[in-house]
Amino acid sequence: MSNVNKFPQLHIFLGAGGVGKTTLSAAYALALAQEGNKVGLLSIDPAKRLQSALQTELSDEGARIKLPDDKGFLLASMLQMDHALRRWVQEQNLSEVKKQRLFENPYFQALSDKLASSVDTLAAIRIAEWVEQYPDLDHLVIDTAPGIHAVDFITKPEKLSLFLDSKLVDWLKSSTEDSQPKKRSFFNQLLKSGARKILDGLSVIGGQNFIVNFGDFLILLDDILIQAMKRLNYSRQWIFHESTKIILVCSVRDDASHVARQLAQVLSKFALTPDLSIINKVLPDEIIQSKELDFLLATSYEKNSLEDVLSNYISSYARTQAKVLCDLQMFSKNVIKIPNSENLDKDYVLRIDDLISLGQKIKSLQKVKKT
Amino acid sequence: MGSQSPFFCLKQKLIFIVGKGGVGRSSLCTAAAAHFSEKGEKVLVVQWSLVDSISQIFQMSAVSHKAKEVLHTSSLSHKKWSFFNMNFEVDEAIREYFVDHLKLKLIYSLVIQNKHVQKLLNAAPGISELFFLGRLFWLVELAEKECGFSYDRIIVDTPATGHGISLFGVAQAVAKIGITGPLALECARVSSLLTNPEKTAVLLVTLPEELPIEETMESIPTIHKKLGFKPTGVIVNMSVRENIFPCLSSQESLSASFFSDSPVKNQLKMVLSSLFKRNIFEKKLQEYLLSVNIPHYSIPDFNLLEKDINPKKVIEFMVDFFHRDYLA
Repeated sequence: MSNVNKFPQLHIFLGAGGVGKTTLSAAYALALAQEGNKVGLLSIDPAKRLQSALQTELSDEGARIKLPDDKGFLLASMLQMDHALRRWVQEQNLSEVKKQRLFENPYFQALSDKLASSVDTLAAIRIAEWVEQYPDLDHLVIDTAPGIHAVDFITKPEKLSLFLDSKLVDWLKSSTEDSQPKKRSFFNQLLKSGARKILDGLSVIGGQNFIVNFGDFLILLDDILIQAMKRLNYSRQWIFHESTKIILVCSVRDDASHVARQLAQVLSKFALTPDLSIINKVLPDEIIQSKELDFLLATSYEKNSLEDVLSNYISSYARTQAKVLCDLQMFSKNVIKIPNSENLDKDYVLRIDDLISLGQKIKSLQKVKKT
Repeated sequence: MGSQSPFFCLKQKLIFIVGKGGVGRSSLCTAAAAHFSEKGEKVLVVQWSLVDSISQIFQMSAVSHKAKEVLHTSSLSHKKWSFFNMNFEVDEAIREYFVDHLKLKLIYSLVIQNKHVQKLLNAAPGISELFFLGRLFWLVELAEKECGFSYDRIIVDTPATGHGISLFGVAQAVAKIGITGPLALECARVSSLLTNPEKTAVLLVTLPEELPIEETMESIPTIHKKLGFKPTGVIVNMSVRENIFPCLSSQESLSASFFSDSPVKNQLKMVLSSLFKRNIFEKKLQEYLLSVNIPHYSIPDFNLLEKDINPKKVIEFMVDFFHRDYLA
């Protein structure tokens, strides 16, 4: 593993789905790079519009983004489980025959599907992998899967080891181990009592193939999972490091604020607190603090007129916004608001300059708060 | 364009309402249940979630695997609603399958309950999903025979995870891992229910925003491939379409008298343009749906109708909205 002193500073973006994590994390990474830093970005499921703003099609490998000026640089990638899993198989010294057998094992495809929904674990492994690949990064910005499961890699590292440490796994391996036939029969004898009965019971319910395939898969995958565990543990240590910044993102939605609160609660159990909370897509303060808003809300307009619709909308938006702000301030000292207009470029096309200025806005608001 | 209610004339007994978190999936399931209950049907909503969000709406304590009745009188229509609500638990479903249905109590306690087997079941692909679908099959096809009670309508609050809609591909996933015996039979009959468009309906819910619309369009071919039929319809929640809000049909309509000299006029225009933007995204979806011949339904953003709105009121508005259409 790489030199501990040279680990990049991590910036982890967390929050509910649809609050703008991917856009904000990309913007933040761009702003860091514009300041002359070497920055990496791990993105999850970026919208096509964001990818076209970055003028590149993101993949599992890092792609260098063209910046308006080239003081620093940004390497951006998108998490893709199937690609990552294949790469981890390729990097092991398995024979071609074994590799092929693994790729063809039904569980292998299933594992990549299953892990595809736990992007959290993948992201954590990728952090370590990036540091191996690009040891001189200054910052690594990480977008995470939506919802509270995004922190599973912090709170439930056993998710991956579950595949490794089960006793049943040993039984299965021993009943399908092909390289050591003698050992196998020896094991089978040992297994004649309880374990044998359980395996027999399982084959009554699901058939023999089900067990053989699974056992074979586990043997082939052993080294790969061990390597993945090593990386996971290495990353975990950095996630808990004092330099790491956790950024909670929320939008003006009750459910998003609920998710943010749950995330903060889970993190606090591990003595982690959000360094920054962002409420995205807020109504600008000019409206919230204006006398006109009070007037707008107090007046009755003709039903379904534009004025009526707009005042109802702003009224409920302002109310939710106040509630979200209040919720976030309960667990975060540093709450900033990003107005709607910042995300909403007037044209339909999102440009890299818009993203950079959005990132700079986050950074400047963050600084104001700190002083 | 036919009805504006996605539930009007819906024949299927099993209805999957599919969508990502935050699009209003649970609200829509609740409104659908209330709608069918107003028509005198026995309805069950099946959730599979960490938190039971439906009980929350009615200030009830959370339900578990055992269904509980939700009773409510709409403050809009003054009609009584009564429907059942449950939150699926895989361990309980596995017990029901082996002990109550297959009558294999011994195998259950010796094999399934073994903690190492539990780990395998947890890790094996598609097993929890298979038992989820198995329970739905039981509710649709077997409940009447085995316990003399059944529902007229089963509404499934279906979380969409990952890229595909993993639930619908489960039979294929389990078939691939080489299962035979009772589990394989279970898989086959679950498949035959899921792929029968006479019995199963799939309604997608989305929001008129960039990512949800993109994802919905991408998921349609996937679902078609997995089920062998196209989604029954796509519902856009929080819609501000012109036919619902005619005042939003043109962007320059912020009337002259309305804050004409106010310093916040431009900000208000910005807010308004964010509403117009929703229509751009919904139109994009609408064009796509027309091209693949899938019905498109819009549910208004009720925040635009009234100033003081809460989750319970949203449901009442939704049911009222479906009902108005029913009369028309």
